[in-house]
Parts: sequence; structure tokens; C-alpha cells
Amino acid sequence: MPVFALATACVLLPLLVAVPGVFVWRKSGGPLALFALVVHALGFAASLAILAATLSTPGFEGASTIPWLAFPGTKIVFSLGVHIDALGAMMLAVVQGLGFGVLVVSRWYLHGDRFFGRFFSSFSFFVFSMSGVVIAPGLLQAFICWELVGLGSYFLIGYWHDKPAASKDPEYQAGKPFYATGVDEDRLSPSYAQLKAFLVNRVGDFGFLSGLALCAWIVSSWSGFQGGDPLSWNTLFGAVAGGAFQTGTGLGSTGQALLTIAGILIFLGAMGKSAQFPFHVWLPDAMQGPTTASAIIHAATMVAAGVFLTARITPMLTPEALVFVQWVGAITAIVAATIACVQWDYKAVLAYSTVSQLGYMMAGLGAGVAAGGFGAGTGHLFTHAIFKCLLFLGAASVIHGLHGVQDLGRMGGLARKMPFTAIATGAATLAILGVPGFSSFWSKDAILAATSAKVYLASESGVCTWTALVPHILVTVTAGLTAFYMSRQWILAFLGKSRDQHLADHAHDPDKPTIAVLLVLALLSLQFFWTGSVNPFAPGSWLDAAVVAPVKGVFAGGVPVLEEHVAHHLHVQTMIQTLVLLVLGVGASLWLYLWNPSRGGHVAEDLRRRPVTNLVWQFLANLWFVDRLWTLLGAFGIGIRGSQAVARADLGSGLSLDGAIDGAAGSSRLAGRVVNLFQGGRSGAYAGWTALVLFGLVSLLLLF
Amino acid sequence: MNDILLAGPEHLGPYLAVGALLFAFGILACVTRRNAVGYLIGIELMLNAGALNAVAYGRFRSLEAAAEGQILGLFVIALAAAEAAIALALVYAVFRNFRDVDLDLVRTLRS
Amino acid sequence: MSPSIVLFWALVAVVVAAAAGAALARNLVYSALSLGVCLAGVAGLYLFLQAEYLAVIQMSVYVGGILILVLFGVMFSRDLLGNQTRPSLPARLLGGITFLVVLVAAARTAWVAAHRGMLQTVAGSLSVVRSAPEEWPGTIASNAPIHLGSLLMDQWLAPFLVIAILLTVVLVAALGLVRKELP
Repeated sequence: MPVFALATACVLLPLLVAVPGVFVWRKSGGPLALFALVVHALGFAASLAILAATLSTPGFEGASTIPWLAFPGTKIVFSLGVHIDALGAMMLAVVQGLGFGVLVVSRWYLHGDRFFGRFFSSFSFFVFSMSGVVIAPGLLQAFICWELVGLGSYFLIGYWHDKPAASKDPEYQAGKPFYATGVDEDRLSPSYAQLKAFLVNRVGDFGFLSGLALCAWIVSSWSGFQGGDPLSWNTLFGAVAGGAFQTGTGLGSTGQALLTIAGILIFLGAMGKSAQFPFHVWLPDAMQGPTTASAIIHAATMVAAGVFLTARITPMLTPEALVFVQWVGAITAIVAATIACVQWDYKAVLAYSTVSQLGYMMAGLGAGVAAGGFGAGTGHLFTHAIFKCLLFLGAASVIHGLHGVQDLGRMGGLARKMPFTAIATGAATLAILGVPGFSSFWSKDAILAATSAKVYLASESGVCTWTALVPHILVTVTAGLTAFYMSRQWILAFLGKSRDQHLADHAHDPDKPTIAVLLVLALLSLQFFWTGSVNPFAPGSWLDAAVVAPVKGVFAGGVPVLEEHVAHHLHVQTMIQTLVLLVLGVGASLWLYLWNPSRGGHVAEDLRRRPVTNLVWQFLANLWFVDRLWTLLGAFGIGIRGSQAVARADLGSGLSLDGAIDGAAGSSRLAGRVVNLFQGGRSGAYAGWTALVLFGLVSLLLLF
Repeated sequence: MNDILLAGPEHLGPYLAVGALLFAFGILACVTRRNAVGYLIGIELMLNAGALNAVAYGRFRSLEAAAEGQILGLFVIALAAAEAAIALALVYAVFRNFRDVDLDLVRTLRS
Repeated sequence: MSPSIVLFWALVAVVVAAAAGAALARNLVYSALSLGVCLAGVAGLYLFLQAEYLAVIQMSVYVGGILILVLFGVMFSRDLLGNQTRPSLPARLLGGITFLVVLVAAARTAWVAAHRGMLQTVAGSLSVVRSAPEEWPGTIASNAPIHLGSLLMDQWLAPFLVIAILLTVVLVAALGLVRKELP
């Protein structure tokens, strides 16, 4: 089975759509979309083949690379190529499969749109770059494709680039809920959002690049470095295990601290891409793009890239770095969950839910391999990809059925007219809630079990426990909040009395291919698919053996092993906790949004208005003021103003880049004006000047 | 009879001088004249100067070169004829568009 | 002072004067007729250069063909008598300077060619002509036309054919240029 060839094909095939698409999208959007379907179907099939091959051989790991950038005088030769292991193969299958499914839905969702064809070109480009990240054989190619992913998301978010800012958009003003306080309407537009996403990612990427450079330098100057690509996974982890970072010096620190710094720097990139606090601000704004784009980017793949990267570099993350990862994840999870509780835009809830779940994954990964966090985090990555994609596709269905309305305040009782959408979305909601029988019951509980296991391990090894305890508490509370806001959304949209009868009457389910995709994804959200057993309380999943087993943390030796019975005990404990929180959360939202209003009560509105709770509500509705902080810091202006500042900076004796460019332009202009003097249009003059110069030269030559 | 009557100077110089003068006058006509046909006259003068030079150089080099110089002169004349035909056609086209052949009017390609 | 030399210099004077007249005359018809005289004079100079065939060609093609064309072209002018046309000062200035520069350059070339041998005319880059003035033949055979003819069909066939094609192309092109624009 030529896995490497298949993988290369998987990655490069979408370019066949992306590149020609740039030229033909205007005239041949429809054929382009069909062609994209075919190409992505092929890619999906290839990725499934690769997955099958990988899983059938336990411990499969291999790379096929070509040397690319050599530095003569050193032994460094950076390479490009393909690296396949279980984690990568699984991720590739997810990317390609969801890509194909979303493509099917997009053809329906964007039908008749003015930019129809361009979506498929951008989409394919995105799938190409994301696949490149997944199969990257080392940090360098991962970084290159990482940047391309950012570019792809830039294109997709800014799809409707001519849409005006919300403050000037009559459609938005007519349809917005009056309690949308946290929205900065002057800065809410696809063009601003795409810039915001790109620049926030840039900040993270700066860390990634720094970490990458640090690793390359340390590894290549290590005594045991044999030559080749210092950033390829095997070389890198071998160097880490061999003590490269112990002996190397740099940035004023030695030993483990250096490795921690390198790990955190690379994790900064993941923070940007996976919308971790405080870099999460771009994701809700990214809802300005088409919902199907959000389904692939902001649910399943791009944001998952950060988690994927963190999973990849786990072998080199020190315990301190892991603590950082876990804290960031936990904080992100709870902040986003609280904000999601007060959102009334259908997509905004999903956006913050994504941020929260990503925090979950990071918290899981931060728990470490020994505590089972690695398996939990990556497992949740995959299950979340499926059901979040389903949720977004359901949102696309709802929004399309309601002709563009996204306001939960105008929905209600949609289940009557959109049964399939309601069922599919319901399944996804149950999945994200972690109801037994659905995928997240396994993966989310695994994360909680891991975090509590870490607390246990910390107490066992005598390390201070509160650094592990706080994230665990935060994550547990978040589980309850998740139950609340996700059920709230579903109830508000699909159950109860409709708040806008006209909309509800004209609501309709999507076309058959889309429904098919929705149902397939709903099936994949069932627990059965992931654990392989009907019993919801069966432990573990087939993913564990394939994905987790090969990974060993760098410092696995010094950490006490988690005994089987302790793990089981913790697992049961967290399961009970989660179920209790689940009941509480769902119950609260049922009461507030279904039973109470149906009896004529308005507890929800009262809560919003009462003095103390109103303050809380304001704080949450204003998104914890993080967005305001970014704007205040001129963060997005920094991107523009910063480059302006660099251009104007004095390079010495009054020179500057700006000045140099202006000068070059000015002198060409002057030269042009001089030559202009000879362009009077009189043919005689032309002849005269030609002769003058020619014969003048001849005379000069003759004189010598 | 030829030899007595038409034995020109034994040297190249005078012929080249004539050629130079012809050429210079041709350039002067091109630069100075506003009329398109005047411009054409200048061009013919220059072409003639060139042909004269070619023949003169050939004559004073060798027997073979003389023939070649004449052939070059012949080609120059043929090309001059072709060029004059085209030039006149252009003059006509200009006349049709501008109702006059004053080149100062034909300055639309100026900057 | 043989008669032929006197004749030669008289012819030279005529040619130069006619050229001056062609370049400087206000009246366009005078200018065209001056050109005719100049061309005829050049034909005479060809005779002095033992290029009889070329002299005849010059008379028939240049004077008998091209000059007629020019005279036709002259008819298009509004200002035939040259009352309004007077070159502008910049034009005259440029013209004068160019005239002098061209003259000096050409004259110097001529002088160098005549007195130092043609090798030194263009900074030594052209190595086509090599002989010194002493070696130049006094007279050449007058069966030149036969010689010309055989050369045309032999060594110079390619340019000959190219010119033939060119003339055909020019014929068609000229017709195309004067064709009435389709509405």
C-alpha cells in the first residue's frame, strides 16, 4: 500500500481545484463545484485507505521526505515530505472527510451566491494547507502549511468582502437582537474579521517561529546531531531525549528551562490558531464568513490544528510547559462557556462553544500522557470535530431555512417544520453535552478523568497540587455550563412557541444531499462508533491503542505511573460528577427557556435585569471586555501601524525605508519628466534628436 | 570617351563629402519642415546620400566591391521606392484625418 | 584641370545647391523640383563612379517614379506656396545644430577615409574595407551590368528576393492604408 504516495496525493489534489478555480470561478462556478466534489471525494477515499493501512499495523510510523533546503558548511538539510502515523492518519481522514461533507452542503447553502465559485477555490486551498500541516514531517513544513492555513481561513472568512460594517449594514440593523451589547458594530464586517483573524494568528505565529528557530539552533548545535532536518519529529525528539536542551545555552537559560521556553513558544502558535484565551477574539468575529466555511474551519480543522500541533510536540513538553498548556486551556474553557450563556446569535453560541471545547482539549493535553490526558485530548479533538461540524451544518440549515436570520430571539418551534435539522442538531447537542451513548460522553469524561488524575499524581509525587487542581475545577464547572448553554440554544431554536410565526411557517429542511450528510455525521456522533461497544460505560476506545500508545512523554520516567484501579476509580468519580452537572445544566435551561415561558413566566428576562445578576450579565455580554482590550491596545492597528512605523523608522543619517522608496519613486518621476521634454509629438524633433545623438556619438568615437 | 570625360577624382573624399552634405540637408529638412511631404523629401535626400556613399566606397576598393557597391545602391533605390509609396499612403491617411498634412497637427501621441 | 574634373565639380555644386534648395525652400513645389535636380545630379555622380547602370536606374526609378509620387503628395498641402509655414525657432535651432553635428561627423569620416585608409574610419570595428588609397583601381570595366546581373542571381539572390517580396507587401499595404474605412 503506497501510503506516502496516497498521502501526497491527498494533500496536493485539492490544488487542482484551488489554482484553476482562481481563474474560472466567475464563469464556471457550478462545474468547479462539481469538480471539487470529485476531487475531495477522491481525497477522502485516499485518506480512508491510509487510515486503514495505518491502523492495521500497530505502531505504524514512517516518513518519506525529500531534501529541500541545505545550508553548506553545516549538516542541516531541511526537508519536505510526508509523515504518517496513527494520529496523523486519523486527523487526515477527519480533515478530508469533513471537507467532503461540508462541500456537499456548501453547494446547497451557497447556491446562487454572487461569489459562488470562489468559495470552492478557497475551500480547496484550505483543505490542501490543512492536510499539509497534518502530514508534515517536521516543524518547518508544519509552520509553512500553518501559515497557508491562516491564509486559507483569511480567504474564507472574508468571502463576502464587500459586505459593509454592521453599523452601516441595514440588514444587520434590522435583524439584530436589541440585547447584543458586546458587539462592536463599527468593526464587525467580513473584511475586518478576516484581518483580525490573520493578525491575531500572526501574534501566535511569532511565538511559533521563535520556538522553531530555537529548536533548530539547539538541535543542530547538539553534539549528537547526525545531519539532516533538525526539526523533523524523530530528530527533534531524539535530541530532546538525548539531552540537547540540557547542554545547549540560549536566551540566558540552560537545561530544562530552555526546553520549557521552546515548548511554550511553539504552543503560542497553537494558542493563536486554536483561539485560546486571550487570542480567542478572532473566532466569534470569524462568523462573518459563510456558515459552511465555519463548519470546516472553526469547528473541525483549522482550530484543531493548534491542538494537533500541541499533541505532536507532546514528547518535548516539560511538566512546566504542560502546566502552562493546561491552565491556558482551562481558563479558555470557562471564559468562553460563560460568554456563550448570554449569546443570542445562533452562530455566536457555536463560536464560543468551539473556543470552550478547544480549551477543554488543551486542558486535556496539558494533563500529560501519564494521566491519560493525551488520549483524552486527542480523542476529544476527533469527536468534537464531528459534532461541531454537524452543529455548524445544522446552523447553516437553520439560517438558510430562515432566509438569513440568525437571531435566537426570533426562532422557536422550528422542529415542526425542520425535523431532520432538529434531529441532527439534537444529536450533536446531546453529543456535546456528554450524554451517555454519544461520543463526547467518552471523550469529555476522559478529559475530566485525566485532569483529576493529574491532581492525584501531583499529590502522589509531592508536587504542589493546586496547579493541577484549579484547572480541574474550572474544567468541571465548564462541563455544567456547556450543558446549560448548548441545551439552551437547542431549546430556544427548536422547541417551544415560535417567536416569529412568519419565519417559522416558511422554515424548511435542506435538500437531500445535505440531509444525508447531516445524518451521517449524527451517526458518527454516537458513542458506538468510537468505543466499539454499545455499553456507554465501557472504558477506552480503539483510538487509545493506535494513537496514544506510541507516544511517550519526555519525562515519563520521573512521573509515577497511574495504577489501573486508581484510574478506574477516578473515571467513575468524574462520570458521576459530569452526569450530575449535565442534569443540572439541562434542567436549568429547560426551566428557564421552556417550562417557565410556557407558563407565562419570564424568569430569564428578570435575571437579566436584577441589579447583581445584571452586572454579571453585562460583563459576560461584553465578552469579558477582552475584545475592547485588544482594540484599545490598537492591536489590529499594530499590524498596519506597526509596519508603517517600521517603514518610517530612521535607519541612520536620516534614511528610512519609506524615504528610500519615496526617493526611488521620485527620481523615476523626475527622470520621466526629463524624458518627457523630448516627447513633444513632433516627428521632426524626434528625427533631429536621434540624428544629433547618433552623430554626436560617432564624432566622439572618431575623436579618440 | 568615357575614360576621358567621366574620369572622376582618384579619391573617395569628394564623394563622401557630397554624401555628407546631402545627408545633413536631409536631416535639416526633416527637422525643420512642418509639412509631411517636406519631411519625405528630407528622407529621400538621406537615402540618396547613403546610396552614393555605398557606390563610392565600392568603386574605390576593388573590382568586386564596385559591383557590390552598385548592388547595394540598387537595393537602396528599391527600398526608397517602397518607402516612398508607404509614406505617401500615410500622408494620404493623415490628410484624410486631419484635412491637412501639417505635422504640427499630428501630435496626438505626445505626452 | 581636365574637363571632366571641372564637370565633376560643377555637378557637385549643383547637387549640393539643389539639396539646400530642397531642404530650405519655403515653397513646397520648389522644394520638390529641387529634389528632382538633386537626384539627377546624383545620377551624374554615379556616372563618374562608373556605375552607369545605377545612374540609369536612378533616373528612371527615383526621378521618374519617386519624384512624381512626391509631387502628387505635394498636392495635398494647403500651404503650397509656403506663406504660412515657417519653422518654429526651437525647430530651426535644433535643425541647425543637428546639421552642423552631422556635417562635422560625416566630414571627419570622409577625411579619415580619404587620407588614412578606410580601416580607421569607425574606430577599427569594421574590418570590411581594408585597402589603402594607393591600391584603388583607376578605372573598372564597363561590362558592369552583366557582372551585376550575375551577382544578383548568385550571391545576392536572397536580398533580391526579399526586396521583391517587400515590394509586393508594400503594394498591398499602401492599398490597405488608403482604403476607405468601412462604416
